[in-house]
Order: sequence, then C-alpha cells, then structure tokens
Amino acid sequence: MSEEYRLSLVSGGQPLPIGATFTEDGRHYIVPFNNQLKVYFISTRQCIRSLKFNKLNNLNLDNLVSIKLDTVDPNLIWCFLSNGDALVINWKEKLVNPIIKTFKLDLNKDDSLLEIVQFNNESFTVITGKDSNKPHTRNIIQYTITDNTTNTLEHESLSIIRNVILFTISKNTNKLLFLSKSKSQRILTIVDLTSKDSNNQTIVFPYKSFITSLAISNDSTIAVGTSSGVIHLIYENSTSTTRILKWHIDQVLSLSFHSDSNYLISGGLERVLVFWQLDTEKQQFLPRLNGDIISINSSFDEYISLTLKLDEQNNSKNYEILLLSSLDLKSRLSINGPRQEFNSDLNNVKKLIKSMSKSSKIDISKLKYDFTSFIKIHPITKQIYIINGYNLQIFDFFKNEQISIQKISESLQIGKVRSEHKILDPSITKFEFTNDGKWMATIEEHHHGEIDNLLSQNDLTYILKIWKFVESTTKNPQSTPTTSQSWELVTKIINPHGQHVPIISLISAPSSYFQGIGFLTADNNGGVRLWRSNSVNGSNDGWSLRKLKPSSNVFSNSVSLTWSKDSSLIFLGFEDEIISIDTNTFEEIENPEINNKLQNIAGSRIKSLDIVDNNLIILSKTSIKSINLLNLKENDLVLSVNQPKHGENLITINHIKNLIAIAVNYFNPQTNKLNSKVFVFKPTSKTPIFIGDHDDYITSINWNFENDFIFIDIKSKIGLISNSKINNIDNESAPTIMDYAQEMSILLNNAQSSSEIYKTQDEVDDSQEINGQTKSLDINSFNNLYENLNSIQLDTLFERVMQVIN
Amino acid sequence: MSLSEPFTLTKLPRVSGVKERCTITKNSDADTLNVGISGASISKYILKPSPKLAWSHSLPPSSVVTALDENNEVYYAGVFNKTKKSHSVLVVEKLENDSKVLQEIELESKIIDLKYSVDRLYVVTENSIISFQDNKDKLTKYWENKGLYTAIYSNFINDEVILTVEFNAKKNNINYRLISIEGNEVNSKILESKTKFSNLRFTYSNGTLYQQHENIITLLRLPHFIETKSVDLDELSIPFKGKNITLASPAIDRLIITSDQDVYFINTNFNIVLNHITSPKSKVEILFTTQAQPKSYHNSLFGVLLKDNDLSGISITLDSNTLRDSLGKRSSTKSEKSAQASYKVVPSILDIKDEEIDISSITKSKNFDDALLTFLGAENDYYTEKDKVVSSSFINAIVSHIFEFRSDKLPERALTYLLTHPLLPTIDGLLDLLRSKPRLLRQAIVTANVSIKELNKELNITENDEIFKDIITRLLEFPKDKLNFKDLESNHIVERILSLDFGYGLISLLIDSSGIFTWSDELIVKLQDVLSRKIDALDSASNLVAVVDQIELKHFKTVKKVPAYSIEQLSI
Repeated sequence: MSEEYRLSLVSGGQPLPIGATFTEDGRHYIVPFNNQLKVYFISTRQCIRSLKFNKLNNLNLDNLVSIKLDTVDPNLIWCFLSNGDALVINWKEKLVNPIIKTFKLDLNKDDSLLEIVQFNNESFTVITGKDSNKPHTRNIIQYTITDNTTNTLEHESLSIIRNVILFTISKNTNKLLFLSKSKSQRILTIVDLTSKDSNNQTIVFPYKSFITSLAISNDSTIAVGTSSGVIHLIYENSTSTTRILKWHIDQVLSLSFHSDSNYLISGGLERVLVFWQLDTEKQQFLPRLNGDIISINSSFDEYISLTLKLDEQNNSKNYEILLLSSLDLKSRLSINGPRQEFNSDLNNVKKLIKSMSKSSKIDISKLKYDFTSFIKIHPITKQIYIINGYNLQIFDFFKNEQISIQKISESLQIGKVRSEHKILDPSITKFEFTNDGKWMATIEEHHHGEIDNLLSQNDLTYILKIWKFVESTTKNPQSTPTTSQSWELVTKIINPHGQHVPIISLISAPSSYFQGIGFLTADNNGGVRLWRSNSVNGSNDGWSLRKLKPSSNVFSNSVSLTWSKDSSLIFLGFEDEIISIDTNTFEEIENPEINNKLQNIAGSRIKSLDIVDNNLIILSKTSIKSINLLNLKENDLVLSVNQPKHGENLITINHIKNLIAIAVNYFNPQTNKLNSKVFVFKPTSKTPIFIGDHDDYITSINWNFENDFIFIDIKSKIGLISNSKINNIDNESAPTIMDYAQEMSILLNNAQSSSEIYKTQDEVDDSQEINGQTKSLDINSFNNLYENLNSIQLDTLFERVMQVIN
Repeated sequence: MSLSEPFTLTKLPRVSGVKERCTITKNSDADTLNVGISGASISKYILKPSPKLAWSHSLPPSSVVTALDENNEVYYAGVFNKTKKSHSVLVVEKLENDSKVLQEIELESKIIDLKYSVDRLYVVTENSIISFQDNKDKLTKYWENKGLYTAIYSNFINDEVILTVEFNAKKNNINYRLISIEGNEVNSKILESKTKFSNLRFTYSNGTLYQQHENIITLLRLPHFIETKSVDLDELSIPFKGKNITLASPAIDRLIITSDQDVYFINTNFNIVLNHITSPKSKVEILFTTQAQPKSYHNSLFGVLLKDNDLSGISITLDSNTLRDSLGKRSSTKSEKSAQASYKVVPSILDIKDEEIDISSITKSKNFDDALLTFLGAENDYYTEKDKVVSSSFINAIVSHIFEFRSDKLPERALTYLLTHPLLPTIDGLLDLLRSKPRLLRQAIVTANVSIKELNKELNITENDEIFKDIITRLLEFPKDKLNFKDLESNHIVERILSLDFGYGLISLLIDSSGIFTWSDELIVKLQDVLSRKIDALDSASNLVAVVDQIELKHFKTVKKVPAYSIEQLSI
C-alpha cells in the first residue's frame, strides 16, 4: 500500500550569502546552498556536480562562516561553521560519505567563529567573538594543527580588540581593519599580521554619520561607507585628511578594493555597482542588478563575485550570487534558488516556536502564522511558477535552475532609496493556467501608496491580465534551433469586478468548456465572472467578459471556486456556504433541497473546493471533508484539520487518478521544530493511502499533471511524492481517449487490407475463405489475451491465442 | 430526463408460450413503426398524428418472428414455425393494398438477427453462422465458428460491422466478436468467468455493449471490448431476482431497464435512476428506442414497450448527462442507510482512527444540555471554531432527536448552541417550533438558516419589536434578487418601521418590489415627512462639512509634500 509512494527531496534550495569559492584552477565555482553544495563550470555556466545534504551523509552547512580550499589536495574543501566545527569535504568524487574529517575549534564561551583570515592545511588565523550587531570584543586567534591524525589543535591569541562593530580584511589577508566604538568616539584600528609589533595603528573617525561598511587595501588605504551614501577614503600616513567620494544616496552596503588598490568598488541599495578609479576619480557604473549589493568579493582577480539580496518583502532570505568577469563586467554566472513570497514574515517562525514550546497543552497542528506561498506548475512544460512581487519566477524543477523571470507589471527597475520605499510595487495575488497551458491569467494589486498623501492612498486597483504562451524557434545556422518561451500580454482589464472589489479566487475552465480556454473569477462579495477568448481558435483577438453572477451584499474573504469536469456546474464557496451555479444560465440552481444541504455542510469557513470523481472535496478552517455530489452525503473522508489562512496552498488533487494530497504542518515538541506530513487520500476513504514525513514546514503542494505531487518547503527545498510503481496508465487510457468511431475504422481498414493481401497471394486455396487468415497482427493484437489472466484455464488461453493469430 | 406514461399503440393477439411476442425493425422511428408480431402479422404502423395500421401481411398462428428488417418496403423476417420446428427467412414486399411473398429460404438454426444492406441480406443464426444472400434462392455461409458456441446476441453496426456474442454454456465462456460485412474478423475477445452465466441480456448503443447478468450490468467498450464500468442494480434499488429484465439504450450512458412492471431510466455514468414509472398489474418489456444524436442535449426520444398484450409507446426526455442534472439524484442504498445509524468520531488528520460516537449516552442523559455541550467541547453556549469537529449526520441526529422527543421542553442551552452551529440543517417551520421560546426564536432569526418565506411570515405576526428589528436586519443580508415580499403586509410593516425608526432599507426594497399604490395616503404622507426631515439633516450636515473643509484649508497645512530625493537631508 504505502510502498507504492515515496517522499524524496530532490531539488530547490537557496544559495547561502557567504562562502562561495573558486577552485584552485579558477575554472570551477563552489557555491554552498542550504541543502547542497553545487559546483559550476564557469565557462559553460553549467552545474557539473551537486553534493546533496541528506540524512545519510548528515551534512549541514547552516551557519557557514567560510569555505577554504585544501592547500594540498584540490578535491578537498574545508568548511568552517560559526560554532567552531570544521568539516573537510571531498567535493569532486562521488563518495558515500563525502566528509573526510571533522574537528572542532576551541572557542570561548558565548563566542562564535566570525571569519577565517588566513588559511593553510597546518594553521589558520581566525576572528572570534560574540555574534551580535552591538559592540563586542573580537579576538584574533591562530590555530595550529599539531597532530594530523588526532586533530589536536594549539591556539595562540594574536590580538584582542574591544567594542568592535565592524571589521574587514585586506585582499592579501595581512591587514585587518576594526571599527570600534568607545563612548562617543569611533576608532579604526589596523592590525598588521605580518609585523610582530603589537602596537596597532588607530585612527579616530571624526564624522558623525553611521558607518555601514569598511574596506582596507593592501597598502592600508581605508574606505569607510556610511549610511548617508558618502564614502570616506583615509590614507595611511595622512590621518587627518580624508577624501570624500559621493555618488550613493543611501547606505553603502559593501566596499572592496580591487587588485592594485587603484580601484574601489562599492554597492548599496541603488542596485548599482560603482567602480571608482582612485587616481582620476573617474566612475564607472553597472546598473540594474537584481538586488541590493550586500557583499563584493574580488579576491580572485579574474572575477568579481557579488552577493545580492533579492527581495525586500517579508524578510525572506533570498540571495543571488552573481559572478562578473573583471574584464568586460559581463555576467558569468548567476545563481539563485526558488524565490517564494510567504504569507507571513519568516521572523515569526522563531516567535511561533517560542510560544509553542512554552505552553504545555497545545494542539500541535494549530499554528498561529501562515507561511504558505502560492505556487503553480505549468501543465505542459512542468515548470514551477512562483509569485515574486510583480514578477513570476519560472523555475525548472528538473534542471534545478531558474529559467526566467516573467515580468507581469511595470515597476521601478532600480533599487529603492530613502523615500522611494514609500512607492509600493504592484503585487501578483493569483495566477492560473488553462489546461492546455497556452493561456495564463494573472491578478495583481496596485497600491496607490502614501507618496502623494492623497485621500486615495489606501485604495487598491485590481488588474486582470490574460497572457498567451508564445513559443518561438530561432534558427541559427551555426547551432541547433533554440526555442524560446515567453508570455505575451493579450488582454488587460482594470478592476474586473468593479472599483475596490478584490478578486479572491481564480480558476480555469475544464477542457470540456470551449476547449478549456476560459477563466472564472470570484470577488469578496460573491460575484462570479466568466472570461473567455473572443475567438475559438485562440488568435490574438483578446478576451472579454461573457457571463456574470451579481454580487450579494455580504462580504467574505473566504471565497473559492471549482468547476465540474463536464463544465455543467460551478460551485462557489462563500464563507461557510456552498452555492451551486448552472454554467448555462449562470444563475444559482433553484432547488431548495440541494441548496439547503449545500449551505449547511462545510462546517466552517471554506478555503478550497474541488471536484474529484463526482465528490466535492471541501477544505474548511476546521475540517477536510468529501461530499458525494450524487446523494449529497458526507463520505467517510471527514477529518478535522487546522490549516492556515491560505490552506488552499496545502491541498492539491491528482485529477487523473482522483487522489487528494494534503500537507499538514505541525510543531514537534520533542525537537522544538516545525515538521510536516503529507497525506494522500482517495475521495471516499479517510484511511490515507500514503503518509509522508518531512522535517520542515511545507509551504505549497501541487500536482505535476502526471503521477506525482511536488511540494516546496520554507527553506525552498523542493520535494517529490512519487509513485514508485511503474504505471501502465498510459496503456490503459490510450484506447479510451481515442474516438470509438476512429478506432473502429482503423481496425476495419486493417482487416480489409490484410484480407486483400491474402486474396492476392493465395487465390487458389479458398478452403479457408470462411475462417480465412484475414487478420494482421500488431502490438495491440495480444492485448486482450492478458485480461484476468490469473483466473484463466490453459485451454482458454490457447483458444485466445488461436483466435488472435488465426 | 423523464419517461412519459406509456400510451397504447395497438393490441396484440393472445399467443401462448412464446417468448418473442414481437420484433421491431431498427429503422423504425417516432413516425413509422415496422413490427413483426408472432402468430399474427408483419405490420407497418403510422404513428402520427395518431397510431394507425398502414399495412400488414398476416402470418400463420404457428410462426414466431425472431428477427425483422425492412428496406425499401421489402420486409425480411426470421421466422420460426412452431409446428414444423423449422426456421426460415421470409421476404415480403409491401404493395399498395396487398403484400407479395418474394421468397422463403429455409435455414438450420434460429435466426438471431438479419439486415439488408447494400443489395445483400445478412443473416446471423444461433449456430454461429453468418451468411449472406448472393443469389436469389440461397444463403452463402461466409463465417462460421465451429465450436460449442451458440450465438446469443447480434447487432449490425453502421451497416459495415456485425457484432455477435456467442456463449459456450459448458465452459461458461463468452466470445465477443466483430466481423466486417466483407467477412473479415475485426476483433474478438473471449471472456472466461467463474460466475455461472445464465440468462444474459445485451443491448448495444454508440460503441458500448451493455451486458446484464443478474444484478450486474457490464459496459463493454467496442472495438476492444474493454470493460469500462459496471452498474449494480442492487445499488440502484432495482429488483432483479425472479424478474424479467429487458434493456435498451437510447443514448450514450443512458439505459432503460424494465423489471416486470417497472420501467427505470438510468444514467450509467453517474449511476443514478433518472426516472421510474410503474404500470401496476402488467408486465413490461422494452422493445425499441430511437437513438439520440450524439452531442445534442435534451433530446426527446421515442420508445416502444410491450405491456401485457399492448404495444405501447413512451416518450423519453433525455437528461444532459451532466453533473448539474445528476446533482443529489442518487438515492441511498441499503448499506448506506444502515451505516447512517452509527455516527463516527471525526478524528484529527494527525491521528486517524475509526471510532463511533455513542449517541445514546447524550440523548438519554438526564442533563441533556450539559451532556451535549461537554461532548462538543463547547466553551460557551454558542459555536466557535475551537469546538470539537463533528460530522453533519451527528448534528442532524441530535436536532431531530430534540424536535422529536424534547419538543415539549426544549433544551435551551443545547439549542442556542446548535442554532449557531454552521452544520445545523435547514428545518422547515423552525420558527414555528421555537415560538414558545422568544430567546431561541431570536437566535434562530439571527444565525440559523431560515428561508425568506418564514422570515416574512414571522415579520407579519411578531409583536416583539426586537425580533422585528432582527428579522429586518437578516432580510437585508440576502441578495436583492432573491428577496420576495409577496406575502408581506407592507402597509403595516412600513408603519412599524417608521414608528421604530429602524430598517429604512427594507422600505426601498418594498417599493421596488410592489410599489406604493396599495399603501394608504396617511402612510405616504408620514413617509414623506420622515424623508424630508432626513434630507434636511443631510443638507445641513454637508454644509457643515464644507465649512470645516474651508477652515482646514485656510488654517492648517495638512498635506506636507515629501520630495522623492531630498539632498538637504544628507549630512556628512
């Protein structure tokens, strides 16, 4: 029973903001993710190796501080974690256990490892201290491995600097710069690791502005980035005079000296990378990067690697690692993961766990916050579409790469600074594909924002857009033709349900209704509208409103829709009532018996409705239940649940096999973590056919239009619930899909043509004319032979065989 | 989706001991009917405007018509002579006022089906021989199954394929076969079953062969004879044991089944009985139906029933074969009914178990209120989403228990809770039942699912002002197109609204629905007074707002312009 299904984590993951490193030869780039190590071959931009973390190898690089290359064996890397653990990992060869050895650095109590300054196989210099934004003491400690077999370490403290806020390391790793705060003064301290002199040079920073970033060059030139956007340059021998570089108008988040200290590179919230040629003060810009530049690394001369913080909403920690060539500033690699938009701020995870672990008597599945996200799978390409602000991220699950970003709405292309943050971007709330995958509908919300301080500042405009899938093949004489896929806007409807009326639900038409080219929208007061293409064949004629059911005067945010497979019926879930709508008349069905039953069956606010094999599956706030639509009675499947506000993200239906998958997140009091389970049900039974466990919060689950369910969790890991049994559904369904008349005529033609062949070949012998050899054999000939084979007698089998070949 | 009452087309002569009372050609329709009546005649009836005999060729009383076809006014009949025990094909031509026997061909075995198509007559006989007439006097065998199989059913499909079903009683095998009229086997399949087949019945329509054996009707899809579905007559509550069952399929997924005196119209796709008629005292068989055109909805079709000694017509209105037409149509089966006597606990999804609720411990408890509320884990006397999740059948059982056994002394707390519960079923006349308890009545008006009609009725009769207000509030929550004030005493209601100074929204709806012509002058004057007072108040209020706005504009700078870039704020 349960062996048929398997839950596995296969894809996804987020790149970590720090730790990416080049291999010795500079041809490969090793990028740590939260669930794997990926190695890219830079010249082909392809991922050539991914080392997945799983329960078997027990790898986990959370709190990674740095990755260093082994100075002897190029296949080994040393990963340092903030708690002092160091793992030596073989990244190149496929080993059962890629961890070669582990050891632990002794740290003071409350201290964590903050940075690795210098590294070789025998000794390394590190900075330790309390991991906090407030001023704290930083220790520079040198560890030496005295015995390689037992991993015995000796350590020696090189220097201690107190009240440190920020620090940085020069490119040749010889110089360290610390910013410390004592009373009202801010002091910059330079530590030179090459000199044995313990008197560190100190400079008092005379200005008031808040320092956000630091850099020190090999020749001790100091760059200080401030929150107002000004960069101060302080030269070693002229402590009083500083040079000022002005271009940034908001925080300078990252600074780095390039190669020979002639260039300074800076970046910040503007999303523009700025190159300062220090001798001439000429500037060069690389604008329109995807995110705020939070770190610049130019330690490898050929490339500049940037870490971009991608999204500003909800504190999601999505980063992009961008690798630029130093010569032409062209992008060599751009590495990111799925970018979900969670319904609740991820900072609340900690709060939630804290409150859950405190209270003793709790319902472990009743979670206060909703971290789900809205994700859909394209029915044809099987790519995952993820809402990301006003963009849709298209992510390929098999390649485990972002394919493209589809821009749905116009917005500012640049990073926002200062009061620009008050301009609110439009955001996509819902999208849906037609069953053939050729059309997409999106709904977006435009905030007027407070920028002009108008009365309308809290108003929202809703826009429905219909997009067409365009596949264009560009034929390049040199290479194989490449197909590019994109979405083209066909129709844009502003306020499709009237002004200030939000659209809560959006579904596509079943294939039986005008080939499924249609969308249904429902608003927050029960109005339903049907949109269809103006032309049946789907040329670019635009879409229009075809039918509408007027709104009531009651409001609800629990609105859901479903449309029966034969397109005759639409069910609208509104608060805790189910309203049945006849597709032809677009009016509520006037049958008191049906209406009375449907009104009182959900039990609480409805989150999602779906029809599976004439059963209505209702997910409400307190329960999941299945109703047989033919007798309007509850099936055996009635279970109590505590799904989050957007519980519709955690339920999905396999419409081929008529299975329901639901993900349930819960708090595990033993481990103090959020775990989850995935249940697969048949619509008539409460006994699940599969239960899968996952050790993170699942944010969305979807059917992949084949046999599997795909889910994504809070760490953007993508998992698969697959049917391990090789499925013969294709063989079974193929004949039924074909039209009966068509099939019959094929068989008839076969029979006729073979009898004609027979006649021409052997006209003399007509003794067999009656039961003549008039049938040709093909793959399907023996199909019937194997039906209910286990109960068959041998001579019947013979008879069957004879029938086929005779 | 209905069957009409059968209407008599003609009476049949009394013939004893014959199973095949009559046969109808497949090319018959709602206008003309070609019937072969055993022991009597081959006849043509014109059915419109009223049934009348157009032509007939009489047969000796000993002959049984086993198959019939008509082509261009020539009738081909498979005839069995009871006295001579002989089988033959009789070819009769219809003349203006007479008939002419063209020929009679003797055959060895019973004729199952025959068909005249493209200048040839094809005959299927019980001994599994298919033959055709290639010259005038003789039939030529072109397909023969030498075995122990007996042909039990045959049908010509689209004039080009012959479907036969053969049965081997000894091995209990069924052999389905498709043969083209050229004599080539198109497809065949042998079905071996452990269940002993007897008295099999078949019908064919639109690519599906329906096979009935006892309670199971199996749908086999041509041309591969794949079993797509099976329908259990038990589940549809159709009696079959010891009954004479006949089948006919007028359209895809639709089947007409007769079982002695009952005629059922079923949809095999949704497994529901669409319609059911009974002709008391007479046994019915379905002989023939016209075929629906595929993909057209709401077809009206015609069928012929054999009703004792009557040949009856029946008109069949098809359903659309959609979920919309089938919603709620399935009656509960016996097993489902027995299952309803028990009420299951709704378990949490993280701890799925099968447990039953002992409902009697609640219903028989001395303190019913407490027992129920404790069981439901209710913290208050009203429903909240924190309470225990129960199935709707449990709530139904509790509610019907209250009104059945405790109606004289309604449990107030329990009912207050139930009236706020979203699973509370719709109860006819709920307000009447609760009238003795004004508190519960109010609760029901505010939270329970009460029809507009009942609310209107209560609005007319209530004397309590608070209840009156509640009803108006509730009525205004309904969508406007659903409201109906036909039975409302509007004059009286409006007066009361004015005196209570509450619910003016209802007045405008009342005017919309029935106008003010029935109202008394006095009332209209009153209403006008109220309205002009309201307009005056609004007028002065808007004046005031304008004044305040002006003052604000003059004296306060409420809007402070924030520039997008403010260099002044930069400090070094």
